[in-house]
Amino acid sequence: MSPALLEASLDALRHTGSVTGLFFLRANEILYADTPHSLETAREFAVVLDDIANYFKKENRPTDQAAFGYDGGNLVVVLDGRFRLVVLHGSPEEADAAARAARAFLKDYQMAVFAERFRRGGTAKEAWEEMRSVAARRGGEGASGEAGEAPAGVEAGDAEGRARRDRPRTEAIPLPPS
Amino acid sequence: MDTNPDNWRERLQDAMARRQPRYFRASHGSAKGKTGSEDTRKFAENLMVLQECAVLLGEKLGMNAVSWAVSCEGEETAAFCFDPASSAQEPEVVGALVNRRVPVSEMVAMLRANAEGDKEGSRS
Repeated sequence: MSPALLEASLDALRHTGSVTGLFFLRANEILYADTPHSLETAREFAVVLDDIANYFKKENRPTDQAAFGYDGGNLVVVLDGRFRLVVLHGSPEEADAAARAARAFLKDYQMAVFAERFRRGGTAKEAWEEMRSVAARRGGEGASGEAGEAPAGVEAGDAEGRARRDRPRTEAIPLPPS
Repeated sequence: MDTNPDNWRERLQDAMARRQPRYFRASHGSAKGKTGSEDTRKFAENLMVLQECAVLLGEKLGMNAVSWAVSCEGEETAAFCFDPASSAQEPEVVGALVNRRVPVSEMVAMLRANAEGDKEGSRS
């Protein structure tokens, strides 16, 4: 599945049912965000979620999904190694469907990573091992957490963000570098 | 209140064998259950962590007043919800642990049914 298709999947999920927002994160790095919140809020959220994930890892608790219901909405978080997909949705009855869709996307993403490695000339075994090590690695490269240019697709709720959303997407969700 | 540890153990073993939820209640900083102190302690820890996660994440997104939470950890599911029948001044939490993955909607429905059942039981 190509990066463009992955991004299209996220866009489709974002506009499904009562979904009001979507984050796709790698550790505390935003790979995709489409929510009513500001970029700063999105970054803070990514950091908090990364801290939570690291806590579970430190406590040796393989938490891979959490769902929360609030007065003002609902949240589903699906975790797969360093990757997290967060779905904000209005109707609590959609939590299971949102979780299923999030999990399916994360599997597709991992497979895309694998395919990319393979395409770049490695053996299937090398591609698989590198993919798994990217997913399992903690800290180090890729976990930038630094303020910097937001990846394409991050919605800041401002005019530029909306214009970017309306333009045909040419930037793809980044796959980890080889 | 059943204070016989053998009964607790039997209930715990039965629930684990049948992969049925073990229910708990919590209020005023303490938790109660029917499957023994160790299981209740495990629930209390899960409850604290889940509540903390809910608050931390919700705060960032401007979402307040957590009403329920469900988490899956491998083949275990933990959940809580606020008992709507409890007073706002003294809110009570109904929670459960179960040794299988349970869909969110099913888990919340079971908690609410259990809370309702407790209310019926206390009336009769």
